Amino acid sequence: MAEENIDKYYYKLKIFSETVWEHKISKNKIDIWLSNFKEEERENLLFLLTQFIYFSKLQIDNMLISIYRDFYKYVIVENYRLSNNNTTDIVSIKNHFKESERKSRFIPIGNPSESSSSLLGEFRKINNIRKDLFIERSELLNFTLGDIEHFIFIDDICGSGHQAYHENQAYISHIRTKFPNSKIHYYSLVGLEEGLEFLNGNNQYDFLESVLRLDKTYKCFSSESRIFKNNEDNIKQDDLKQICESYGLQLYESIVIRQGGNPYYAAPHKLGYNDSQLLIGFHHNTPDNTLPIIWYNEDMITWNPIFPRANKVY
Amino acid sequence: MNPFDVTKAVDYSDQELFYNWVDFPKHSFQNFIRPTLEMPMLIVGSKGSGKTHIMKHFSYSMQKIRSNNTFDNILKEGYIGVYLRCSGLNGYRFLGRNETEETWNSVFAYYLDLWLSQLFLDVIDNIFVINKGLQKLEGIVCEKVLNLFSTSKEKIIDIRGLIDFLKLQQKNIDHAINNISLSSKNLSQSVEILSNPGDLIFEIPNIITSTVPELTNIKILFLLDEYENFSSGQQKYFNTLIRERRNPVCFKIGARRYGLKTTETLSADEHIKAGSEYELFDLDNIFRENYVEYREFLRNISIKRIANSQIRISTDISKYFNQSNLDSDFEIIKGKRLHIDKFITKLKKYKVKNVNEIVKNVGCENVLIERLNIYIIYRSIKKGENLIEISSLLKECSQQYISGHNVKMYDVILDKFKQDLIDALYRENGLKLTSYCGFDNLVKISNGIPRHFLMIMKHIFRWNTFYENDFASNTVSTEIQLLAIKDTVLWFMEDANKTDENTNYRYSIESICNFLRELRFSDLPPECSISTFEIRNVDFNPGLKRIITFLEQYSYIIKEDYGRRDKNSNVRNDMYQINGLLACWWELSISRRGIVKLSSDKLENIFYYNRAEELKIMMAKELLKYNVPFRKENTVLELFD
Repeated sequence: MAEENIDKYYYKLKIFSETVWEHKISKNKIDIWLSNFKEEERENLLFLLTQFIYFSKLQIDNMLISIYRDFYKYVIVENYRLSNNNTTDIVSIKNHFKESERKSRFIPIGNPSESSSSLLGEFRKINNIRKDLFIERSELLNFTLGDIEHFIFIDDICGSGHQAYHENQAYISHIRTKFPNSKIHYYSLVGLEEGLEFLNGNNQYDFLESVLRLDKTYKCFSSESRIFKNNEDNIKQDDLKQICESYGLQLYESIVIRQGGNPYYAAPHKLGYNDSQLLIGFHHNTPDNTLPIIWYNEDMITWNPIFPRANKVY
Repeated sequence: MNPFDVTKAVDYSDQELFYNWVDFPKHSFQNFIRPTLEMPMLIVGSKGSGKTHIMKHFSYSMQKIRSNNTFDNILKEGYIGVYLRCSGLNGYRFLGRNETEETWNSVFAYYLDLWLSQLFLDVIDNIFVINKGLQKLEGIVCEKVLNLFSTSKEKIIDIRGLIDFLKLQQKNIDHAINNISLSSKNLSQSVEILSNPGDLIFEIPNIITSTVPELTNIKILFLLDEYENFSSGQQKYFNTLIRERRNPVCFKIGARRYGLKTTETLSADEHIKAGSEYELFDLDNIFRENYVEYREFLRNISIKRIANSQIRISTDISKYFNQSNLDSDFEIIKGKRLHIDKFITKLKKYKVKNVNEIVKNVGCENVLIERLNIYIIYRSIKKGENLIEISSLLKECSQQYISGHNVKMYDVILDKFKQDLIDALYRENGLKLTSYCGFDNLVKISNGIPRHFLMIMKHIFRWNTFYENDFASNTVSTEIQLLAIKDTVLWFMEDANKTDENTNYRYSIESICNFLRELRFSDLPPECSISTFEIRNVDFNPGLKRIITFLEQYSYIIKEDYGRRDKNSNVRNDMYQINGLLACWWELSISRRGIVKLSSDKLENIFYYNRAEELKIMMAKELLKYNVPFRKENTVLELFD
């Protein structure tokens, strides 16, 4: 390993850890993670780690504020004003918004143990929203009461868009049947452009937004990958991709096998769910769209993750 | 929490200042500063030497804390300290904009009088609050103070009212200055000066101490910090006050090195003289000349800060810092033996005969002796001696040395060059130089500037967190210490990012350090423990003088007090040592032994960034003298091709 580069990477990682990464990593944790790999691969992986994007609690809180304020509240207010001759009557605007909020339900994507669920708790607290406006997704199928106008699904990440599409299909059909006049919203903290486009093309949601839109440059191994732009250290994209693929495949295979599937189906996910190839993590969890070598935290294979993902194999 | 997060006294509250106060061992700052001394004192010191902390220690707010708010206890100290940071006045506002210098100086003088008087009256107001019995005197004090103002018809009955009156005068001046460009009036028309220069500063304290019986023998100590923020004209006014000081007022002025821009006064342009009109207290010198106490001082600061952060440690702080472990490092070096590879390459390059035999003869199980033998072979090449014979002799010497006998030739060289040879071994074998590690060395590196030490400690704690290393239960590795030094150097170098048309200070620093490093790690260095250079008659060279002054002002180089006399001309030369932090970064010595003599021409080539080409040629010529094959100057190209 080139000593100078190694020192430089550790130095960067230390600065990240003590500033924006909330002290989540340490030299020991990095070394333990590196011990997953061969000696000659470690410089590459250390470089890769310096490219990781971490969303701290502060950032996420502000993104949650943005979802509520910019995507939801302001749109309701704007529409009300437009249909009321651009009224500036603050009392009537407030009353209308209050009424609209009463007719809204916020729903996390995933089951109660998943990260979006805890995220929604933060969403409620930080935006000071009434508790009774939140329901679990599983409750939706029995939900028939009230004159609900807005169903708002909140997610931390929209990767390929497939999870948000397929897993929500039954619930959305139910809403469309029972509440034909309601609007269905989908908002995420972070969204890959291709995933958002996929959802958009399927017209499942009436409103679709993501606070942060990630284009292809955020995909580690795309031809436009930002990670390898201005790369002074001569780290080879192909070499690194091969390393991530070979370990990623083994790791994902174990997940597929554990879920009773054919290991053959692991291949598309070896660089993150549905080939997302992301390198991001949140304060509350690391999404499976990120490279598995970063987060794999299951007990089928002995692996030391650097940003572990809350165990997801049920 | 990092106990060393705060490294500037201004970032501390009064309570924190008190909580973290550490006195200078043995002598005590009280004995240096002597707060009741009537002769004014100029306290000079580098950036980070602790001037503010010391001066604030003598201020009323700190007196109050250490006296538990008890009036009698404050009086026991014999003085009342009034602290002012000169930067707070924004002295640069009192310049230009079509006003004469004379007008500005008059306005500034009045403004400063008002400001200091307010600060003093704030203290007095507080004293009257603590000691309610004194409040009956407020009316008399106010009457007497108002008499100092030429046209005042105010009716003021208490100190608070007096302060408000002064504040209003000051506000009027602020208003006039702020609107100077918009107003049709000039400054002399819009500002009314109601008192004689200095009257408020000297007479208000006099009125107070003569009216309040409890304060009769109390000195009023004005502590002016950051005096360098005053312009020459502004200093000239205050220098006049220093010269014309009247009891009960005393002055302590804090300034950076070279912060005293002028010694002139307004009294027929006479100068104030150190020793007769003011006393000069050089904090850097105190710290540098009293190493044992300075070390103890830093130790006490560290222990106090760490203890205040609820971390339990023993008082022997040295044991928490790993030092260079020569035995284990020599084992690593033995495994690598890259110094031998370098030696062989060199001999072969210059077509030395019998290389294999020479190399075999210099070999020794003690790598330091092996490297010493190489040094002696280099010396023999220079002298033109028979290398086979010398190497055979070295083989015998090595055996004698290993079997426990003294070898005089070795002792003589090791006495001077041991650390250089050890560092060369580390360097040639790709190891980081750890000779800078250990508590004592970190103290040494700080060169009498406590903030440099505190910064290293701050970064040690940061790296410790990253390494999950608990300070109290584990020693700090040499690796962490070197990383902390690196961070501190990066911080230290920020001040050097100053350039003008002809000067790039960062370049000058890097250049002199590179030059000295090349000399130190040459085959036969001209001196041992290189980090100090000597220059003659620098005063006659304004360009060099400017750079040297800047580098000294920011402590990138440390001027050795007395320099040394030139053997031939008997002229005293100036001597400068490279700052310890820079020395670590550039792998120079942190001890001062060998001194490299530099002519003005050479130093110009080193310092002037537009002379990079000349420097290259000069360095090549210079290094020819100290590197194999030690050829004459006309063979430059052959050596560097």
